[in-house]
Amino acid sequence: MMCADVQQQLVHFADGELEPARAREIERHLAQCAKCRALLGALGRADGALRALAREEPPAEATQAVRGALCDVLEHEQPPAARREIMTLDEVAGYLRIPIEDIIESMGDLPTFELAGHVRVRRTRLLEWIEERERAHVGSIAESDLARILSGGLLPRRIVAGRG
Amino acid sequence: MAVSDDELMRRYVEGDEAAFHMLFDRYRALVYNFARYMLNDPFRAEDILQDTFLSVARSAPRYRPEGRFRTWLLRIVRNRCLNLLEADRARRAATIRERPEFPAIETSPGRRIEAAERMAAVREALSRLPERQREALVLYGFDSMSYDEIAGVLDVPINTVKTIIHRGRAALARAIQDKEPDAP
Ligand SMILES: [Zn+2]
Repeated sequence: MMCADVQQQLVHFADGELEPARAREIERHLAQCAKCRALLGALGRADGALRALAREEPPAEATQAVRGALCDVLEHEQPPAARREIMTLDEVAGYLRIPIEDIIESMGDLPTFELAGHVRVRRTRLLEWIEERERAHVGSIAESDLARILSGGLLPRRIVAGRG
Repeated sequence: MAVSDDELMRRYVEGDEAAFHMLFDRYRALVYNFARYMLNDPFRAEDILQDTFLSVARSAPRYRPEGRFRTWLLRIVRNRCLNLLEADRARRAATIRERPEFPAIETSPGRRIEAAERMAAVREALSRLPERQREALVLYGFDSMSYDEIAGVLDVPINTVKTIIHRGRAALARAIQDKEPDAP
């Protein structure tokens, strides 16, 4: 086999796509031709570099900028706040019909977490938390109360403002 | 097992913002690099990264969960890049020729090049390949992506994709071999 023939089929050879007989011919050539061997090595390194390059991170500032822009869109444009799982403190205040000041005052108690540098509350966690607080205060929560809370109705102030 | 892309989109549409941030984390490198090498321009790739994810967030309610989120995402990226390239070509026709993003690097002969230099050499070689090969090779580099999926993104038959990728890889191999003449 000539070098040109081998080199033309080198990618197929490396990927194991050749007939066994053809692959053996190429192996025999490679055993005695340093030039073609070097090209096969270079192919492996080129493939490795491609994999590394496809996974390179964008610059950190760019990632931060996009995250900031995303937070704006996700919070202000959609989906409808009434159905959102992740709530801002303002939304929690609106949802519980409690002044935002009260929410901020009792923030240490609320099941909050941080998302891209902002304080957020998960709706399901909030509902669990309300239920726990109700239990702690009145033993067990009346079903009508829970229904009222879940439907976004008025919540007794003591649930959020009261401590222990 | 990781949560599927479709499941994350569903959670996001139902109000879970964190699910969308997870999608962003999963695909920001792929989107950025695909745009970067399609355009040969890392700065405009940052704009594409932002535009794409904002547009995906806005159009999420209309997304059809058919298990092809990644293809859908990359087709959005590609269309944006093609529009920019089209505008460039129109502008360039009236002005001067383009300048490659990655300058040629010099390596001293008789010395094995280091990994960083090899990356630079591959970047440079890639930037000189035709657009078709560049875009296919970046997707190929993302190693969980099948030929079938790449064909779906690039909108060409699978055999065409294989040929483009084979030729591109061979071209890159020759280019880095030239930079490291006496590597083992
Ligand atoms: Zn040979």
